[in-house]
Amino acid sequence: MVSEELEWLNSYGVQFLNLFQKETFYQSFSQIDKMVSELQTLTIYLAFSANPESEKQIGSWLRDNLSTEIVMDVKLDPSLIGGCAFIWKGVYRDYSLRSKIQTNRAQILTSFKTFMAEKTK
Amino acid sequence: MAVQEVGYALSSNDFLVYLDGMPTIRMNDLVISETGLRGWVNAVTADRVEVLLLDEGIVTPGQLFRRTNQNLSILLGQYLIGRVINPLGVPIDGKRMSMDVSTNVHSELDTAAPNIVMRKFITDQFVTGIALVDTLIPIAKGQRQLIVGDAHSGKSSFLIDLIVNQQTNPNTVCIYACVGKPVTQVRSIMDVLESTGAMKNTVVIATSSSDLPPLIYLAPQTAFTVAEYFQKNGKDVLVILDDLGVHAKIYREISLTANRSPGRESYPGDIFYQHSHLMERGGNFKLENGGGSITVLPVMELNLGDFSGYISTNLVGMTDGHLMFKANLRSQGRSPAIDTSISVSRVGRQTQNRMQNSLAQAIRSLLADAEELQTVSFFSAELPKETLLIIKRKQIVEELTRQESMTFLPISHQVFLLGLTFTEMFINQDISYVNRNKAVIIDLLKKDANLSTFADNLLTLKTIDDLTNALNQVVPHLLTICK
Repeated sequence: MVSEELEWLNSYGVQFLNLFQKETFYQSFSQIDKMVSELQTLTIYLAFSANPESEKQIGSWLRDNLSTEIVMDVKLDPSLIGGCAFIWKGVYRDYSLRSKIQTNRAQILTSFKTFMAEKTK
Repeated sequence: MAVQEVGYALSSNDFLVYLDGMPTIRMNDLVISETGLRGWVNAVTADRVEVLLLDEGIVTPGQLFRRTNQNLSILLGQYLIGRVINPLGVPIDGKRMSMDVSTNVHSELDTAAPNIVMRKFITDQFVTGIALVDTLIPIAKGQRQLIVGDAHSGKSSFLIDLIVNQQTNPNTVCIYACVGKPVTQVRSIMDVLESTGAMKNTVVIATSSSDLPPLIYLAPQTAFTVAEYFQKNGKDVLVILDDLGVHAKIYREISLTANRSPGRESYPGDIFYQHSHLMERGGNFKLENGGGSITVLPVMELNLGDFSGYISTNLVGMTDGHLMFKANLRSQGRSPAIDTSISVSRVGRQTQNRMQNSLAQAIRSLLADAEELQTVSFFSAELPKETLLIIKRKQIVEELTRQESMTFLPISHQVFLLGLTFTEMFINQDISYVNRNKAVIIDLLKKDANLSTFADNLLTLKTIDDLTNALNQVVPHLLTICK
């Protein structure tokens, strides 16, 4: 076991680790499993691969502003181009650049055509 | 900002997937996975959504499904005529899609049947062109008539004859739903309909046994949705569901996979509802509701002639009559191999005209008398003249109703031909004479305009005596032609 993991386990204290005795092992795990299943998952799609530092920042912002009982699932989706999208309580909300482009597709195309026409004059 | 409902696969079992999420999803909504697998919502519980997959593929727990903004529906239009489609309305006959989509409409597959106010009394006969059916067990426009019988008893060829014969009526649209048939059988049905020209007014909804059960399950619903479209356009629609025994087995498979409680013969408790819910979409409709009719012929194949099975008795209970096909009659050369003594039509007789009805009554009574006397005749060497006459007439009726495949007999010709049983035409001849000259008389009726008019006028008569007297006038002429 690497030292980082040992440090993480020790951070829970002796009282927590004592829950995992021979007699209580299965019961404790099923209780934890039940608690985890009750947690809400927030899936975040990012256009770039977030480093641990960024993930930590997002996580602490969520705990401070939304709830401490939340599971964060960060996924990579380069097709977003920029911005982010997330899934919360079964609803996907797309705040990405891809979504903006798709919404304003006609307008962007018109501007682009006008620009090209002026340039070729 | 784009908003879309999504759900994660909790577990999957073959074609069944349970999803978590999708807070406002409804029954029959379509969902699609990230890998492009489509499915429809079959049940919604407090904590999960039950989805039946329409495409074959592997679903792993945690896989994302998105809600499409569509429900189970198909695109309806005139373009469907002459096409073979799957239950989702996708043409599978290799022909190109129609470019004219201006009149096409989307319609849900699972709609409520029209209520009683939208319906009207059944008054018109659905002419099959098959003498035995039109005379003895008539089918009416808007009737639900079960086609039940053993394997290889000629049910499919009868149904194909029925579709082919509808070419004479331009206002009729035939819809043939193949429910989980072997691919070769589906192909062969398509080829026969194409080669006879019957596809001109036919739509085939085809599912083969290699399709996924949820897709096969939808075939009858699609057939009715297509039928309702044409009925609302004033057409008389014939819906053939071939067969509902397979449909019941497919529904049983889906229900058992979904952990529904099994009932009798392991079928789920709502199997009667599933079929009756379909059957009640048939009927004859008022002009305000389109004015057309939907005649339904569900098919049920029996196992070794066992008529008392769960599904067959259910279907008998929800239809307006049944045609019982028997393999032994077919092996005796009877075509169609319908056992008239145990077949019944509860609606058709009210649509026959008076002459047809009188003739049918006389023939039915003759067949019943002959059946009784035939048993006695085995024990007696010499029979009274009257008994011999009845037995002979029964043989004549059996021979006259033996009809070649793909032949259409108009009602007037049927009355003319069967009416000859009660004249002196065939009494002193043997049965081979009837067999030889039946075709001659039919041919004469087609070619001789005077005789054809005479046959048409027979329909204005009232009683069997009037018919016999009228036919006796032409018997000498026929005797000179027949050899």
